[in-house]
Amino acid sequence: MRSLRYVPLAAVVVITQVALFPQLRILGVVPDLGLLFALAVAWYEGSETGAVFGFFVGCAYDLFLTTPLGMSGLSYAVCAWLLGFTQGAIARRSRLLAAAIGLLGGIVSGSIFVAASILAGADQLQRPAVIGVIVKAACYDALLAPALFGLVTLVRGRRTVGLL
Amino acid sequence: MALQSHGARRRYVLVIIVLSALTLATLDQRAGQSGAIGKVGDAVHRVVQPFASAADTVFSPVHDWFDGVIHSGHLKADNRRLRQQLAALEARQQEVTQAISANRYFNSFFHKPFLDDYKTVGAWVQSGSIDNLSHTITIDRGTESGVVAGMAVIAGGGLVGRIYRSWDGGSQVLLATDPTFGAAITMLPSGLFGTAQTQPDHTMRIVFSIDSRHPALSKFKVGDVAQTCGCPGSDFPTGIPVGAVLSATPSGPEVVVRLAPFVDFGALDVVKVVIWSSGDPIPKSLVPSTTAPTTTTVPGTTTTTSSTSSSSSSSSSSSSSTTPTT
Repeated sequence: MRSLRYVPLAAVVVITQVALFPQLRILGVVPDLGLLFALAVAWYEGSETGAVFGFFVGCAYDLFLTTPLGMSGLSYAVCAWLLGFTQGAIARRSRLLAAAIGLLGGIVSGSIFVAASILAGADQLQRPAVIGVIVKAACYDALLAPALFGLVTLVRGRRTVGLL
Repeated sequence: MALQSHGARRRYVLVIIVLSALTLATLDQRAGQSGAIGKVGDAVHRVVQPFASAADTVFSPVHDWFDGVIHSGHLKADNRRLRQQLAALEARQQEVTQAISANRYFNSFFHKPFLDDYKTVGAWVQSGSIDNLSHTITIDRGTESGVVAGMAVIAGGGLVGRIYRSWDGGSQVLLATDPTFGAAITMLPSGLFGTAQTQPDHTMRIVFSIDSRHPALSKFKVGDVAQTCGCPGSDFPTGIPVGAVLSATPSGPEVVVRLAPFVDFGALDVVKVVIWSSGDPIPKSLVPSTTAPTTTTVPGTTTTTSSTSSSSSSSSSSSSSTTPTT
């Protein structure tokens, strides 16, 4: 029940992603705010909560895309789950950790998204240029990750396993 | 024991999510935009549309200003070049108007409809692609204006794309630069039909078989125009310019043609949606009547007059005189 406090933030994240960020492209790419949100929730609340939020936020985002529904949901959820699962093994905490998580998460999530979409029939993604797009988007994610982690900390209301 | 059950629950959650994603993808692929998932998508678009519109209003000027600062050098050169082009185009306008009238008149004989005769709806482009891997735009007209999925979207240069999804107050357009985009086209002047498929480099590729009896038909020149053919089952009505030939490469018994689209996809502000779906009737004004041509003979000349019920004034004036007969 405690996790319900993230629901309004999840809605804001999806609306911001689809309404605002198409106007704020850098190097022709948009960031994955939903992914960063899922990663932040997984970091603070554990892998299951992160995966569930990642799945729903990703599916909401998928409703705006031309790729099969559920692919962003799947990639966000798996990434969040992996982060929550490996969180205990990350010994060193620093301000840059959020950015590093954003970068790695962006690459892993983008790769899962493309692979799953191709399996689901989106053959148009089978081209080398996609790799460049994933890397550029992951760099944008890294830029925004500290802000998203900060927002989730704010909503959470306390700083225990903080990054910032 | 507790740790073990927690680990099992973690895995259980992941498995459930993976299965749910696969189920949703399958349902989405099967039902398409007409199913329950498509309806949910439409509803969500309706909710987000005002926010997107507000963001566009606020950020477009900022975006344009940054663009102007970054590209000020190019803008001056562009401005000079465009002024020269405008002068040249104005000189040609009269000539083109006459050519269009003549073309319209001659095509009416072959029951070929013209784009002008279809109802169109103008729309503002609200935002570009929402994600990184597809090429779409969002426009501010939707089902309230009769816009439905599959309709052609055009701009000054020609074909922009097709409506992918529409809702009350907006539509999502799949651009002709998206690698999933394809269109049935006919080449001018040869009249050969083919399917143009968009490539990752945003050109379109068509493969024609060389007709051994008429090899000249399969010879294409750089600059030859391709337009939508309006073939049965095609999403688009006939006559929408698609692109010009960039290259034509013979490859065994085939010719591979690459087209460069006419539209500048980076500068789309206003587009038009052609209110015509596959299978819709040809506009009445374009269907000639079944009245047979009449031949009148006057001393010294024979005049053949073809009258149609078409509203176009050019048809009623269609007459040709042949050489004197006895």
